[in-house]
Amino acid sequence: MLVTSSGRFSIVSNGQHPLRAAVEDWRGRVTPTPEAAWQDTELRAVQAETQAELLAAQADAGADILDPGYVPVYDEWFQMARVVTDLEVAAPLRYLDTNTYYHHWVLNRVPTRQAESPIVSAYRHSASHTDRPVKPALFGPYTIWTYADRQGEGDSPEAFAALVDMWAADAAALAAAGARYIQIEESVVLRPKHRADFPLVAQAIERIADAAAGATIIVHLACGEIGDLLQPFLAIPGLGGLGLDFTDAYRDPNLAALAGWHGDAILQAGIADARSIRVETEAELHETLTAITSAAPAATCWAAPSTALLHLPRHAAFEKLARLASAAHRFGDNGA
Amino acid sequence: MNQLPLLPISTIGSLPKPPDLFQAEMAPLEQQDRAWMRQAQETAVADWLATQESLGIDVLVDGEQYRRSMTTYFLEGWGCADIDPDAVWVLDNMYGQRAVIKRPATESRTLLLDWYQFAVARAESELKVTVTGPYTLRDWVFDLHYPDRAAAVLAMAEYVREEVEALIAAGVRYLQIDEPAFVTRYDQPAELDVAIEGMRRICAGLPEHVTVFTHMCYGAFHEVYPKMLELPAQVFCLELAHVAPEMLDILRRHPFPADRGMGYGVVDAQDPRVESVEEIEARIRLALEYFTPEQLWINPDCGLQVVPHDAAVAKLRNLVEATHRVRQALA
Repeated sequence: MLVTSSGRFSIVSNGQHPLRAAVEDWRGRVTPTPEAAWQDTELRAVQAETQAELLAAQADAGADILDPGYVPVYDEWFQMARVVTDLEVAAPLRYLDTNTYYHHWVLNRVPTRQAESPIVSAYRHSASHTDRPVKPALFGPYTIWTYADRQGEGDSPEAFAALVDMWAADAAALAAAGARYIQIEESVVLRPKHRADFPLVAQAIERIADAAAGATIIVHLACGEIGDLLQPFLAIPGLGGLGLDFTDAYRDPNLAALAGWHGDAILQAGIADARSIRVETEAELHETLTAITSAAPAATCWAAPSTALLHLPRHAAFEKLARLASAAHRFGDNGA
Repeated sequence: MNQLPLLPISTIGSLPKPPDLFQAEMAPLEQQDRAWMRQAQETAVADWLATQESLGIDVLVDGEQYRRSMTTYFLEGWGCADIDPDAVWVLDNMYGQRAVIKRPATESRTLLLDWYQFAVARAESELKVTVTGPYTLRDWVFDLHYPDRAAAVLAMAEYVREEVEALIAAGVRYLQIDEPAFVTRYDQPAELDVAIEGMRRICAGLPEHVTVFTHMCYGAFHEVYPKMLELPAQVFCLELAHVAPEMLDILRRHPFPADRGMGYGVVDAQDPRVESVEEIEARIRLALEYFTPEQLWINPDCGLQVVPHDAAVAKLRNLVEATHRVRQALA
């Protein structure tokens, strides 16, 4: 059974990290803005070194499919915004129920892209540093859209379609660069008030998958119950996989929903709780995998953290990833 | 006892720390010079009290200069948690250390008493003491001790209650229980009920002369309103400088109760840009469309700890000036 990361990592180890030191140095040299960070060659060099380090750490932990290891100096929503023409970015908002914050977009016109997203160049760099598949994890257009402050033309179907086109262009560029897997984070659609927006997510994923021929598009849905959205998701043309959360809060309802699993999409099974510092035992992980593979084919099931291990201290994140890899590989070896 | 003016001005809690103090507390615990840090913390608290008074803030805070974070300070101080040295990402290029609850409290739950007495000896104006609420104390840390989230929240509520009892015995009249995590699981009613129960246990039987505030930020308030009114606070301090249309819409449909107060956030606590007096005045006037003057307190969105010192002072100066203008118009 393959093991994959589910997004990026925190970098600090015992209060220190070269990138953190480089950021502090940069803050002292310039007026710290996202644009200044992007243009700073010294900072970008340390970011690149950090990527190589995080790729190696994931491989050492036993992951088969790696996160690119790119650590933005600001958040991903901010870095995506910098490639959109005349886009204002507003105050940070808490993402889901995490204690992490992202700068939301102010959409007051139909957005247009002026350059390739940084995630593409980050992918190219990471792919050149490992023989293992690298899976970029992008926040999806619906997430950006639903958290955005939308006004006037920026709150129109045309504006959403333009957003989707940007993501499709990035997915196409990633596929052209060799990405076999692309993860699109749209967990917010599982929240009760957003479930009715499923058609927007479906529209986006179909368009992105169409653009990224050759790449498998995996929609990641953490921190929620899939419930009656499982069948509609599986019916999205071009969908390559679904990431579901099987940690304590969502395990039972998502296992129940798996009774309706069908087709050949990859199930990226989030069985290691990326929000809890407690490291699951192999027995616990095996029990969950057994329950999952009684409903979904083991051959197309990947073991994964429930969401990005970003939320855990670095030592705990990699300890958890190593335990997950050990358990999943042993589970696979036993022919389950 | 001072009589507060109409539209009383306060701040939320944290204020920028001197850079050397900030650097010192980020060092590994075993490398910290606690005696030097205590001196630096006292100086910083005294400075901020004087600054707030000179600006015309009506109800002062101590700026939380002695707290590494709003969760680790309490959990580490009570002896029930260890601090993980590997900080995790929070926002932008900021990383925060996380507490890991490992045992029941082993130390006194009177951490704030000493700092309150330090502050009250140096302030002419009224003081508001801020304490992190039990739901946030659980939600923003890791827990390896309690069997479930509710058990941890209710245990934290007992500890906070002990802090509060000591403070009230020492004369505190304005008490703020911060619960920013309250807005995070709005789709899980049982979670909201646990948070409400935690604050109820803290506030049960408090003297009538004590005004209890609560503070929330960076969340979808409209998702927890009017449910939030089940929290036993008299004043709700919310981040509203960029109020969402959804919040205004729900306030139109469910007007804020006349017997509760609103601490209306009128300056952005993350953006170092200093809002003009006119911008802030416009936000206060917007607030007056939804709340009576007697209900309103004026404050920043959140603690100003992440903006530079000079920007924080300038924001507060303009906030005071804007409030004075509106007061004069209302007079």
